Order: sequence, then C-alpha cells, then structure tokens
Amino acid sequence: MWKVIIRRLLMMIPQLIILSVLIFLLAKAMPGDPFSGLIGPKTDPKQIEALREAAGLNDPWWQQYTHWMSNALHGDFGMSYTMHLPVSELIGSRMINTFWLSLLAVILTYLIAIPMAIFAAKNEGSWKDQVLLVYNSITFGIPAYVIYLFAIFVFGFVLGWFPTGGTVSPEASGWLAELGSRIYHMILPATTMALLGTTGIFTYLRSGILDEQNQDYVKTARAKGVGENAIFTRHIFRNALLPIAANFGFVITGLLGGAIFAETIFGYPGLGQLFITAITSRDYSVITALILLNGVLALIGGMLSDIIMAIVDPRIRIE
Amino acid sequence: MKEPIVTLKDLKVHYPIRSGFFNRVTDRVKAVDGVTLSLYPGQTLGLVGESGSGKSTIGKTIVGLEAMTSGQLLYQGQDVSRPRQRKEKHYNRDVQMIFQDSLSSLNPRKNIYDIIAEPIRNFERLDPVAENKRIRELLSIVGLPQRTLFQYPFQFSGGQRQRIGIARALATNPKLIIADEPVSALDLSVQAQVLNFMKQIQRDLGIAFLFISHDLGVVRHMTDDIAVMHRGRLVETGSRTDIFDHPAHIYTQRLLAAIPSINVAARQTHRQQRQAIERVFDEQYTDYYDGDGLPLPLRKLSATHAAAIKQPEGRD
Amino acid sequence: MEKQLLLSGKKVTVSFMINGDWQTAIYQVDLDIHRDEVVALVGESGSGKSTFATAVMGLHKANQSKVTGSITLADQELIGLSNLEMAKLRGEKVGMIFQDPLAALNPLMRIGDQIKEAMAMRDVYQPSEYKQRVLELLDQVGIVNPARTARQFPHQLSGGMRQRIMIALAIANNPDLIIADEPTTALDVTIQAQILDLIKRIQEKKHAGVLLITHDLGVVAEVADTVAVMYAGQLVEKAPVAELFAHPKHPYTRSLLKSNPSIEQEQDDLYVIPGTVPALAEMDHHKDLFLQRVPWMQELADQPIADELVEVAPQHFVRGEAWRTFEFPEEQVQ
Repeated sequence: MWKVIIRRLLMMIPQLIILSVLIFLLAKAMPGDPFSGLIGPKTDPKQIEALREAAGLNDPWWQQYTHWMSNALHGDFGMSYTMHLPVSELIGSRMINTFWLSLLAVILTYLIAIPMAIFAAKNEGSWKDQVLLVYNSITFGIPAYVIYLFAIFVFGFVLGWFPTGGTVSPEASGWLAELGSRIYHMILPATTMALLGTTGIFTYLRSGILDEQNQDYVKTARAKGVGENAIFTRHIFRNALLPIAANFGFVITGLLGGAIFAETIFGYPGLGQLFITAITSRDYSVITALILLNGVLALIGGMLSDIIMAIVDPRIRIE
Repeated sequence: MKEPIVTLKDLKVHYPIRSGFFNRVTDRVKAVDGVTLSLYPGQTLGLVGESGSGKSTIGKTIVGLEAMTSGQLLYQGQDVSRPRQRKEKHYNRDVQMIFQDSLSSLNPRKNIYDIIAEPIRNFERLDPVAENKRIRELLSIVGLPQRTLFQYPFQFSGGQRQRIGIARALATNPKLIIADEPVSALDLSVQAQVLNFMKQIQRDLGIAFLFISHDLGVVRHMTDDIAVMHRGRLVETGSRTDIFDHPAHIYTQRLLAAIPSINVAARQTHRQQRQAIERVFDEQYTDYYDGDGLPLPLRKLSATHAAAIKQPEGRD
Repeated sequence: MEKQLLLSGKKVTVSFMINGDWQTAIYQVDLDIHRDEVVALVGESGSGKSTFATAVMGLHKANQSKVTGSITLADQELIGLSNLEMAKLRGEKVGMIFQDPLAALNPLMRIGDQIKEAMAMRDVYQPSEYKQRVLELLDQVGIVNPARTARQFPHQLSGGMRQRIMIALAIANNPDLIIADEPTTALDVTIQAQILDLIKRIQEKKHAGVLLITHDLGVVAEVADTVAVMYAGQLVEKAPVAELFAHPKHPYTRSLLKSNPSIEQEQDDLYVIPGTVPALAEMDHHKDLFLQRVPWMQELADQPIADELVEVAPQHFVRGEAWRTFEFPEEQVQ
C-alpha cells in the first residue's frame, strides 16, 4: 500500500513540471503585463521599461520560469502586483474562508443527495422518483449563477434573512459570536451550492442502488434469510456507495479550490473571488499561483481517490 | 504427407505481472508455454482443456488477435508471425474465426447483410451484384431465410446468430476456421443443429477446423484428432480412438472420468473410478509434471499418439 | 418404507406482468421432494425450471408476479406468507445454491462474514461461537485452510472454492431442503465432478432433500433419484432416474436424449429437434406445446390435453397421450 502511494507521489513530479511550464507559458502569452495599465499619455516608456527590467520580465522565459519555480517551491509566489501583499499570504487567508464554505457545502450536499437518491431508488418509476429526477436535471442544467443571483436577491435583499457579503460581521466580539457570525454568513451560499450540487451524487447513487439490488448476491442474501433492512444497508447501499467513494478524493481537494461563481456573487472573500479579481486586474503572480494550486489539488485528488478505492474495494486492494 | 496449412512452433504467450516499487515485470502468467501444433487441409482438430489452460489463447494467436511472446506461426510453410507478413500472404482471408458469444461478436448496429459483407469487402473486391449474390448464397448455406437479410442481430435466436457467425467466417472461402467454444452458450437442441451444420460444412467444403471446447462430448462428435491442454502446454495428442480409448496422460484420464455419464446403472462404479483416478493423479503427480507443476514434454507413443509422460523405466 | 415428504408443490402456476399483460411462465406444476431424495428438474433455458425454484424460495417480486397453487414445506403452506415470515423460513428450512458463485457472493464482504450472516438471523449461537461454526462449515465443504479462507474475499478464490462457499452458506442452518440452481454449469468438468460429489455427500449425511435444477442430462444421470422434465412451463415427464433414461416416453424427453452428443458412442449426425420454443405470450398450456413444433404430429398437436400427468408405469408419469404414437422420422432431414 505505502509503495503504491509513494509511487503515485513520484509520478506526480513530472506531471507537476509539465503543468507548471504550461501554466507559466500561458500566463506569458496573455496580452499585456502588470505595467501596461500604468501607461498613460504622459508616461515615459523608458520608465515602464525600467520597471519591466527590474521585475525580470525581459529575461528569457526559461530563466523567468526557473526563478518563479524555485521561489514557488519555497512557498514564495512573489508579490501581488495590485494588492501589494505576498501572494502566499493572500492565498493563505482566503483559503481558510474557502475551506469552511466548501466544507459546509459538501456536507450539506451529501446530506441532501444521499437520502434523495435512496428515496428515489426505493420508489423507482413512481412520480416521486420522477420529481427527483426532474429536480436534478434542472439544477444541473440551469447555470448556477442564475440561481445564486436569485437567492441573494430574495433572501439577502428582499427578505433580508442573510447577509449579502463578507465572512464575519465586524460587530461580533468573542469567539462564540464570531463563530456564529461566520456560520451565519455561510448558510446562504452553502445551502444554495448544496441544493444545486446534488446531481452527480444523486445519479451515481440512485443507479448504483438500482444496479446492485438486482445482483445475484442480493438474491443470495435473501436466500440466506437476511431481512430486507439488513440487505439494504449491508449489501445494496454499501456496494452502491463505491462510485461515490471513488470521487471522494476530488471532493476533499475541491474543498480548497474555491467556488468562482458562488463566492463572487455572494461576496464571500474566498479563493474563487480572488481568482476573478486577479484576472480582471491582470495580477499574474496571483493567477499563476491559483492555477498551479488547482492543478496540484486535482493531481492529489486523483491520488486520494485511488487510495480510497483501494481501501474500500478489496478487489483492487494491493496486497 | 500433405503440407500443413498452419503450424505453430514452440508458441509462447506470456503476460507480464508487474509489481514492486518501479512497476517492473516480476513474473509472468504463462498462458501458453511452448506449444507446437500443425493443422492439415481438411483436418478437424479438437483442442480441449479447462478454463485457463490456454486453449483460447492458441486460437486467438492463430488468427492474430493475440501477440506471441516467442515462437513461430507458419502458413503453408512461410513465416507469418508478424502482422505485416500475414497481410502480404492474405492470411487473414484464409483463416477465419467463430466466437463463443454470438451476440457480442456481431455488431448490433449492422444488419446481417453488412455483417456478412464486411469480410468480402475487406478482402475481395466484388461488384455490388456479385457481392449480393455471394451473400445470398452464404445465407442459404447456413440455412437462414432470405427475408432475414436486413434484420439485426438481436432479432435472431442464439442458434441463428451462431449460424450468421459461421456465414461471416465462410464469406472469404477460408482454408481454416477456428471455432472457439461455438456451442457452449446454446441449449442442447439448438447445439445439435449448429454442430450438425458445422460438420456438414467440413464435409462439403473441406475446410479445416480447429475446434476449441471444454466439452469432450462435443469434441468427440466433431473432430478426428484431439489435443488436450493443461497449464499452457499440450499433455496429449492423438486420434479420437487414442484419446478416448487409450488415454496415456493422467490428466486426460482425469478429464474423461469427470464427464458425467448418462449410464445410470453404472454411476456407482463410475464415481469410484473417478475417485480412483483422482487419487492416482495426486499420488503420481511427479510422473507427469515437473518441479514447477508444468507438464513434461510430449513423447511419441505411436504414429498418431503422443503424451507428456516420462520414458518408461529401464530405457533412456 | 415411505420417505418423509419435505416439499410438495401442487398446481404451482407463476405469471409475470410483462408489457401490461399477465403471462404464464409455469403452469400447474406438481412436484414433491422427500427426505433423502435428489429430484432433478431438467429443461432448456426458458422452460421455467428456475421460476419454480424461485417460487419455492418466495423470491419472486410481489408486484410483478403472481404465484398460485400450493407449495407446502414441512406441512406449512408457503404461498401467501408475508415477506417477513418467508425470510424466516429461508435459510433455516431451505438453502439455495446458485449458478454463478462469483456473482452470488458479495464482492466487498469477507467469506467468513457472509457465512456468519446466514446464521446470525437465528440466535442459535452465542456471539463467541460463530467463528468456530464458520470454520466448521468451511471444513465440511472441503476447504483446506478454513481460517485463511474465512478472511478472504470472493475474488481471491477459484471457481470451485467459491461454489463450496455457496454450499456452506446453503447448509449453514442445517436446512432439510437444498435447492441447487445449475450449481455446476459455470465450472470445469473436473471441478463439476467434485462439487456434485460434495452435494451428494452432504445430502446423504444430513438426510436432506435436494432439488437440482440443470440442463445437463449427464449431471442428472450422475446424482438424481427422480427426474422431472420441463418444457415451456410445464412438466412433461417425471420418473425414477433409471426408468427415465431406460424408457423415456414423452417425445420431448426422447428428442432431448437423442440430440445429446454422447461420450460413450459415436454418432453420425445428431438429432435436431425441429422448430423453436414458443414465446411466452404464445403458449397455450391446454395443448401439448412440444408437439406444436413437430411437423409430423400435427393432428395430435391441436387436441386439448389434461393438466395432470398420467401414470404409465410405477412412479412414471407422462403428459398427454402423444408418446404412444410418437416416432422419429426414418431419415433425419435437415
């Protein structure tokens, strides 16, 4: 088992190098640079040029790349050009916000999707099942931001039940009040995200249950005299969870990735919002760092998923 | 003696098992491990063995669906071990295959006409009229009504589908047909139909057959010569009489004894016999298998008969 | 000496809801199984033999099927029992062995746990006794290293070992009746022989009754005491095994025996049964359905026949009268 994990980690090294080179080159290929915005009718081109020279932007790309990479490996992603903060610090503070929001959203998603899938599968073909199927295709089909805008308009502005931005209200004092305020700020975005994010889990689990309940081993369990409830929990449900478990690695790493639309619309200062701000202000150092972060997370997610599968499915367990 | 159509020389098909830190090949599954075999024009050879014995791998290797690890495939004396050589010598036209699962081996989105036409279009450039005539002819050879020509595989029963598979195999006038468990998915009454039909083709068209099966009853009915496989090697080859009446290898004896007999009166003795042979198999294991549990090399017993047994005592 | 009657099926009829219609899959099947008796139910795919076994186990889905007639197990009527009552009888009074042991075992559960689960419903053993009992059962079915096997998962075992596990599951609660549905079809001949021996040995030791469902006449001849032949959802013939193979009566039984490639003797061409099995919707169970596909028996084919089989020799029952006049054609023309 450990060997496999270490091998997967080693395999990630070349993947990471290719990924980082690609990200770096793509960032370079974008038109303009952080100093383009400073150019006005009265600026001296020489001054801009001097700034560029000082920032190393005139070096050959591979020099810039190795410089960037070796700093990155030390946790230094440079300075944000627009916010004048070290990128790592900026990302660090936003990541905590993103993590809590995503965690709440993911928990809510599972809490909604799993019972929904079980209920639909148990009522297969009836109108109850149909309603849930339709619900899940609608939420999958409608662009999420439409619903987010709707939710913030209705529950934030019109009804005023939830705050329309931020993470903690400044009036909160004491850790308990702060925690309460933090959760209060997350409820609306997290619930909306969860309600819209059930489709994958719902579909996999529902069809998993329908598949598994027709398997021969379920018939064996009945023939052994096992009760229907035990057959469902011990056999059907457990085995139908496999495809969801397979995806769980990505879910874990997804906690840190940031939700671009939700965070931007709900005014929640997480990584997703940071990403949008960085793009609009051409803040390269932040953009490249965020893309790199997401790439690394995806790679780790794949590895975690493999490991989880090896733990839950004895057929692919490596002895 | 006639020249063989196809000869396998010391065929080995090994699959690597990778493990360890660097995923290196640490071991091999020896699906086929040193098999030499010839098929002559018009001959029907039965290849028998249990699942995992390598019999299907041999069939697939002959038609080029499986890559050889080592060894040689000869076609009328010429080397066709590589795909390119097979192409040059029209090998794939002359050697065809019938599969066990007739449903999954026929493209569900193609009608019968296109399924049978495919090999013709691949290998023989016939004009549309001649092609049509040939396909209708094939359909009547396999005894399917002309009106079924534009139906799809799922509209046929298992026995009919197997006959479509045979028509497709016959389309290019092959010299050799590899039949891999062609009737094991069929019911008894349908099985009889397909077997008779394949026998008739053998007789009428003089096509050589390699008949791969786990069912000794079927093999006995279909083939003149039989080769028995175990653990990737041949343990015994011979005529039908050699194998059924004078089996020399303990594994062949064990296989024969295991076949249920429909002679109800003799079932007690049959069972005792079988258990006696099982005991001999355990006791005399080393007389028939080497230290790695692999069968010994084949040794000639008569002009037609060979078995993987030790030299008798006192000789050598 | 009269053997104790374990299972008695009387006029068992099973219909399925297919495309909005009730279609009869098996019709008025009478079949008894006694203690110490192996009854083989023979037929080709679609003949309804598994449908009968599933009805005995009460495993047909209630909303898509209808079972009528009477099935009594040790004098208790099974038809009409609730799911809960049936679940209690399953495993305890009847054990079942399925065709494909890989599919029939839960891939994610250890062998030991799957066997333990079969016993845990009963409250017969103290929790501490289960482990010992699992090892005993594995040993009984000829597993060489029970402790190791109990910890393994199904995919780690060979086909023959998996079927042994299935047998261990079926006998975990010492049922009087064992139903084996094509137990050796997925296995190699040498393994098949071992598994048949094992089933036979266990049956003899426990004085159990066995319902063996198979399409293989050789398997029937090897282990059965009584044979019942099914065609298109009905029994066509029932007789002690030696009698059936020596004096097959019904045209279908005789045709089946004649089309079997024999290992004992060489035949030129195998007999081919003309025609095909009718579709479920086209089955008129008041006629001899087999005769419908025999071109030279058409005048008898249209006559209605009784539901009950006729006893033509001691313990030898045949459906209809066609067997008296049925002949094979001189030359089998293809």
